[in-house]
Amino acid sequence: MTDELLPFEADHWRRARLLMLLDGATRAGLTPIEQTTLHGVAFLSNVLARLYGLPIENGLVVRWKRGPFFPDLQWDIDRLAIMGLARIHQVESVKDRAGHWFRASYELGPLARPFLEASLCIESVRRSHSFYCELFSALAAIPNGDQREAALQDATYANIVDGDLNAEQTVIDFGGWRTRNFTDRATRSIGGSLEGLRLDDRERLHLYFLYLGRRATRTRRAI
Amino acid sequence: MPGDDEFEFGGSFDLGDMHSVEQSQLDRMPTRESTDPAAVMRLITKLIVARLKSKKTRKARSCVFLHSVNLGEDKAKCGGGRDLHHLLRATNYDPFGKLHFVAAGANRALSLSVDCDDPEELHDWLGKRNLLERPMIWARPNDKILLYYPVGFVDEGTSWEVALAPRQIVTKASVDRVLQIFHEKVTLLPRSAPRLWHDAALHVPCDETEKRIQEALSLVLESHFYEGRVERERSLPGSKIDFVIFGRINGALTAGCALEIKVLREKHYGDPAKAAKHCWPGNNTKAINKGIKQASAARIELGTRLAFMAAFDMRAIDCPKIMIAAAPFAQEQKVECRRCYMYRSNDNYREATIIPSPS
Repeated sequence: MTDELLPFEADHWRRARLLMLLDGATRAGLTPIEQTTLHGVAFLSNVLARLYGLPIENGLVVRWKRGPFFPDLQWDIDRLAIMGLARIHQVESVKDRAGHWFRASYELGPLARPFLEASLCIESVRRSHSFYCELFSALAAIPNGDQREAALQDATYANIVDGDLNAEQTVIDFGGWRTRNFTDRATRSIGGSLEGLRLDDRERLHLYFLYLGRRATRTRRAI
Repeated sequence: MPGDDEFEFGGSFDLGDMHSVEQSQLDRMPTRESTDPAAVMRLITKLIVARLKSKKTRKARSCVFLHSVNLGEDKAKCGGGRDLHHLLRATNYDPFGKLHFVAAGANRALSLSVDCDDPEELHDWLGKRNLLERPMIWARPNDKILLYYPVGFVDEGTSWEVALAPRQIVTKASVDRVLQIFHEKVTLLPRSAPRLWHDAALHVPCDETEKRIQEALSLVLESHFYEGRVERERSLPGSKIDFVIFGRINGALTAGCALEIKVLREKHYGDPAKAAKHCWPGNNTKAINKGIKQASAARIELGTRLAFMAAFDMRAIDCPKIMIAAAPFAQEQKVECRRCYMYRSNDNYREATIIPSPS
């Protein structure tokens, strides 16, 4: 959607999208939500957008040691917090095996509700919002400790066609310059073992998240 | 580096693992948008009915599930409560004797100790916190009923009653039982939710009545056949069927029954109601025959053991002739036909059910 907009409008749309993501997390009972999980879901919303017939907002991601991270999203959410549209719940610095980093949790701010209500009067916004709500609702079914890691198990993010999983800074293009989307292929294969049943896109999405959760749990236990 | 063709799914996606998730988790999927209160309530209904299977819960206390858009705000409003992270998956958790706020998707909840057995006390508690207009489910295991309030606890006239049935497999008797419950508790008399009559006194149904009946019936079917699966509006080659009910045989989902819904009308929808046009009686006959054909086609295509056609009769006079006429065709097509007569007012119902005094 941002491709068709002027830079000023694109900023607005990006921030509106971010608020819709936070609203989805609120409705699923997941707020305050940690920034790592939020970036992970933002990535999954891009790779899964085609399943819901929605445009991909950002078709490129860099495979990084801490999972998907979008600097512009981080920039926007911090500005939204200053504007009163989001709220920073907790912020702290952390040091782990990967080095120094920060941990922050976010939720909707006191001024967000009227903004969201006005935005949801637009049909295309409502469709995106409904998709984000479904994403978070599916994420809520995953055990708490594994939600952060779910995006790392995604078929596109963890693909070995673009590079070795241990290689740093691998660029994965699933909708920027090319249309090869492994997640889309994977979700469309769901239901193959259920003879005679018909699955809709929502069920595919939820089943895919449960699959990601199962893989994340297994990986955590193996470490 | 491997090429695209070599790894269709990118090399890390495990299709076998995915299939195993499909097999084990399918019955926990929301059947409608997760944010739709009705979808949350469907999942809760399944949860409660499944919990009541256990002997321990036979004498369980009542419990209430309220739809929540923001658990944090509800927590602040109620001054605390216990966060539940996996309401649907925590198999050891006892939900009875408590009030729960349930988030979209029914995974997250906030649980509080509230006496849910006394309706007045419950009403007061909700009223004080401005929660009377929240969609809600009130499970009363002792009375063996589950009441669904789609527009809140404001008015008894808007609640639907879903009987808490024991585990059911898909048989002719069990499908009949669901249709009977649905007819008696939801469609027999006019009500505001689900609203099926545009103007009951003038015999004018709402627009898209069939769709409204279908929506309401799906909740009753899903709670009754909670171990199986209920698919709505299944497309078939050259046809369509309203419901396909899957039961579990040796753990595997198997298509048990195809169910088609038809509405018999006195008048078509019209607004204002006075301007509504009469429905030609031949249209009702056509609808029944079409329904029988659809149910039969679904039985053959999907290999279901049973095929049902349920006609919800909104005509002025309660007359079975139309079904008697269709019976030979239904028998030939191996379709069970049922007619559920819908009274247009309480008085009309009383007149029809009054026992005539001996002359």
